Amino acid sequence: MSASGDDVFVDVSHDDEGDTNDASSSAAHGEGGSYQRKQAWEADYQKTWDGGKEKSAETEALLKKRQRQQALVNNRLTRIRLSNEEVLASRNPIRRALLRRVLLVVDLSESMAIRDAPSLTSGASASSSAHAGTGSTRLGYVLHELERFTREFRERNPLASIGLAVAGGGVGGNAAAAIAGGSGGASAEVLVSVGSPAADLISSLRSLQPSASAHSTMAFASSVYAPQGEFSAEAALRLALRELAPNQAGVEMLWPNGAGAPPDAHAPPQHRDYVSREVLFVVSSLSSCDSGDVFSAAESLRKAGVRVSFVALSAETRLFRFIAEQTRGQHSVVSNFSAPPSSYHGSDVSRMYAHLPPSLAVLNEDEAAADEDGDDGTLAALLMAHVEPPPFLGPPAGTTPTAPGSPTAATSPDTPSEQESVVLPGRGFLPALPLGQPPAARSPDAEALAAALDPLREFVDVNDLFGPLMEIGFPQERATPAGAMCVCHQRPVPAPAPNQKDSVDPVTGHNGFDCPRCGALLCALGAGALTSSLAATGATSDAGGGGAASALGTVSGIARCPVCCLSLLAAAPHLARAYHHLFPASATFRVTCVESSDERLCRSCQAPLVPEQLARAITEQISRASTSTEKLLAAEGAGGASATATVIADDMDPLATDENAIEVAQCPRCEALHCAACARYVRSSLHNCVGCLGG
Amino acid sequence: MSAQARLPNTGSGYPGALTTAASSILSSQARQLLVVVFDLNASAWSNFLGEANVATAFPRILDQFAVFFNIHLSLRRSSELALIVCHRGGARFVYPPPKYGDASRAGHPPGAGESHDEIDGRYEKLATAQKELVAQINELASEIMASQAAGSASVHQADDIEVTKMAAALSSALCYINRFNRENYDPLLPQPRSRILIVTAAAGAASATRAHYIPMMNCLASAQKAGACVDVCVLGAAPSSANQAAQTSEDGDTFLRQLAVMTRGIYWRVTDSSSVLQHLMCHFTADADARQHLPPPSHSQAAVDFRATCFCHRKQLDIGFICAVCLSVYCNDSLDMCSTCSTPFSVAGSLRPAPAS
Repeated sequence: MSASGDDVFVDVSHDDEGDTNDASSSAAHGEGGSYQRKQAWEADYQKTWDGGKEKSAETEALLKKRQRQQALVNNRLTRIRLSNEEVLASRNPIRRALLRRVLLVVDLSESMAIRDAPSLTSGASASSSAHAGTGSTRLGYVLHELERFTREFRERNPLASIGLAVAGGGVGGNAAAAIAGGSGGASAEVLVSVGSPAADLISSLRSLQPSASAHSTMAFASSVYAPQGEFSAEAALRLALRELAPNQAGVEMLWPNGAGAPPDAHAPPQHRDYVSREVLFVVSSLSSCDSGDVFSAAESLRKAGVRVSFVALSAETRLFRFIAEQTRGQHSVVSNFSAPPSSYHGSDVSRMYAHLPPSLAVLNEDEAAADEDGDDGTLAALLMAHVEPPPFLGPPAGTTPTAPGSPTAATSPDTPSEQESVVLPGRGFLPALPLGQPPAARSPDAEALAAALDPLREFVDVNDLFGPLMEIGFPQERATPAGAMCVCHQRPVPAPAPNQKDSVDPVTGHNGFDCPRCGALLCALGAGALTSSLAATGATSDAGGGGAASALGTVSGIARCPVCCLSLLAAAPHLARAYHHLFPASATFRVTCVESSDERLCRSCQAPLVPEQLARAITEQISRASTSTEKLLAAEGAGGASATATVIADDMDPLATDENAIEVAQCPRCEALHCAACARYVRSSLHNCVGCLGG
Repeated sequence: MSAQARLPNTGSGYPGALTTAASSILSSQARQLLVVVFDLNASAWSNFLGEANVATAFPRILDQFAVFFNIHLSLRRSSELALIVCHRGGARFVYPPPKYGDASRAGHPPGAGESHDEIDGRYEKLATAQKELVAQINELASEIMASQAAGSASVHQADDIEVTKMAAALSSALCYINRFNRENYDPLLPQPRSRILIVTAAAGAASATRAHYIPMMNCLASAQKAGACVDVCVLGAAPSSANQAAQTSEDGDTFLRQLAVMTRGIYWRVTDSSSVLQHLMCHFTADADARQHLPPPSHSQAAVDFRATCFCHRKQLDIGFICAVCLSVYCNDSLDMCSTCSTPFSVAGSLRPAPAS
């Protein structure tokens, strides 16, 4: 290739980034002295994902304008679709897998020791972090984000449990919890089993964190495991299968110790089928070093109904994408690695709406500067996509005895959109039944269904058809007499000190609970002793005993009576915390552009919707006009404060009107207008629309 | 960009690194926002005060509240107050007045200069607050009472008219807290401490019903997350035991108790209309920091019912059946399908007797 060809190559590479790399490109181009610049092979290696933060002012303005126009177009489209879609949405409830067992697998191969992640301590800028030595290691960054992810996950999934495993060359110290992989000692080990208290997971994540002060590779000496060796996907997958679904067919051969039955063999089958099992890999390695067949491991996971998702730090890897697709998981690649680590401050829920359409991201200038700028493709955003429970797809295909070629095969990864219909074990699809019948009366549809299924009765194991109803007890707290022994620990139930009463967890910290079925006295729901017997249902006691460390400070998750095995839940509000996934009052918020409105205030927080300067400018413009017709024209032209048009009409040209348009969020049901910040808050935390509630 | 990178570290790390003494000084500078959600359900007030006395007794109670608000505002310079009034017609911001609710209102409520003659040398914040509050509530109250009086003659369905839009008001309060925290964000100061005080005279189901169960629980989770504690002050006698047995189902009171206990707030019941102020001062003036050093009110936290209510018959359950897909709660397992998510149970129901043969 000639030198001029190389020049072209350099130029193109910069143009591809869409002016995002102004500093370096202007240096490269120079002012006319084209021979002064470095050749491509002389220049510093530039990672394409490094330039994302430094946009020029024009680019930013252009982007904003484009996004605003997009919002307008979307609004036009959605408003047309609203009428029927909304009605359908309200009638066709969302089904999500709320009982989740998730295993996080962190790559601990040597590629995680690369120092190209943004610094965690000083918030070093993106450009400098590209050079070795200034940023933190990938591992440190990943662990930092995973800690955040864990808190968010616990908060939004009260009935889910989450565990942690690592895979790499240096792991496997605890042989009972590990599976050896390929050469170079590549193996995987469970550090925190699924269903352990959330506090354990967080402390474990912290123990993996290399010490921040030292800048050499010796920094890892203080942590449990250092990133070294190779990554083995096969070992990790088999480990995940053993951890998440040990009772599935074919797993026995993967059970090297042969020590006793798998832990949840006694679990009622109907519960197992309604638990979503997920593995979430955070991989930096570009290869997998396996001793066995990684595809057969992936296949056994698919049969067990385990979703495997990957978040790749380096690049997309064919193998990982294949596994993710086969198991109905997601595969995503961090494209904006240079973004600084997310913040913790306060109740700011900045990064939780990363999965929202980008039009929301640039709503409000200061907000955008604070958190949303260029959020797409960051590790935080990709992890947060896994916080929301996945759609419920019915029991996994592999759990029921089905004839080959039966319609159940339709749950294969080729048809990922089964959300609309119910998959019954062994039966393939049934159309979703219409909603609205009173539950006590048997509907004609249900009669027809039962009649249709009647001939099949003898072929089907009754247990597999036992409905997805879980029996759960709600024990009431009661003061126990001094010296009463609890069943779970065989200890006297501790009485709270009177002055500590407020600092003790209000739900479980004191007094005892009676199991509503057998009357056994339990000292605290979600205590560690109960945890082992719980792994079965998939909804286990988290945060037991470590309430202070959990995100909300209250115990959630389901415990189990050690005597009668009844699942127990401390407080009904914990159930209710999951309801917003199913009744997303606010998920329908749409960003609209409003020229001006009668409503000058946000319905939720009373903040003025129209920025003050704009409002003043408009009023001045109107008052300056002398005649009444001029006034009218001015008002119309400026989208004036006195104009009554609220929402831009569908047939208006978005290009012509975006100058004075104000971006607000409008609830499509009640048409109340909310400011952008409230819309975010409602989406991410509150899940109530004030307007819909009648406020 | 650089500001974005800097803020989180200073925001979270700095106060934690200080000594206890210094941080307590800082915490005393943290803004203390009290959002009062005032339930103006007319029938509840007339139940509490007696039909005949409402017109005379209600303003007296309002005066007591105005004193309480002033106490809160005068306790420290950083105290802030917001008031949302809710009734069965909706929820409405009363204070701070919406028209001043823009950028200039960070420290002192402007508009105090409007009427110097009325202020009379009092601390202007107090004067404005009282003027606005009492005037607005009185106006609203008379409006509501009038409409209630007009309506009660024709429509007398107790179930329908009793519902206050409490969930809307609470949501508004949380949104306002969120906005307050955002607008008053200062990396050198600790986060503003916010709490919500719900004042209601509706002793039972009137304050929150099953239609608002999910929104109320959303508010609960959100308040927990925001670190805002929700205090509940209920005016009126506790429902008698016979009455309680009759309405085993959705007791709005239970929701409020749950709300208070799970957000570490205080639930308190005031039975005597003349001593409202005393109770308010005893229990609700202390902020969250001070409460750590105070014993909690004795009878307030007793035995809150945390059991679930079934979706089909609205019964409080000891043992319930929960749809594994959508977590709907049912009181028996003989249903055809889930009424919420229409996951069929019917197959199981129809097949279960079969294995006997």
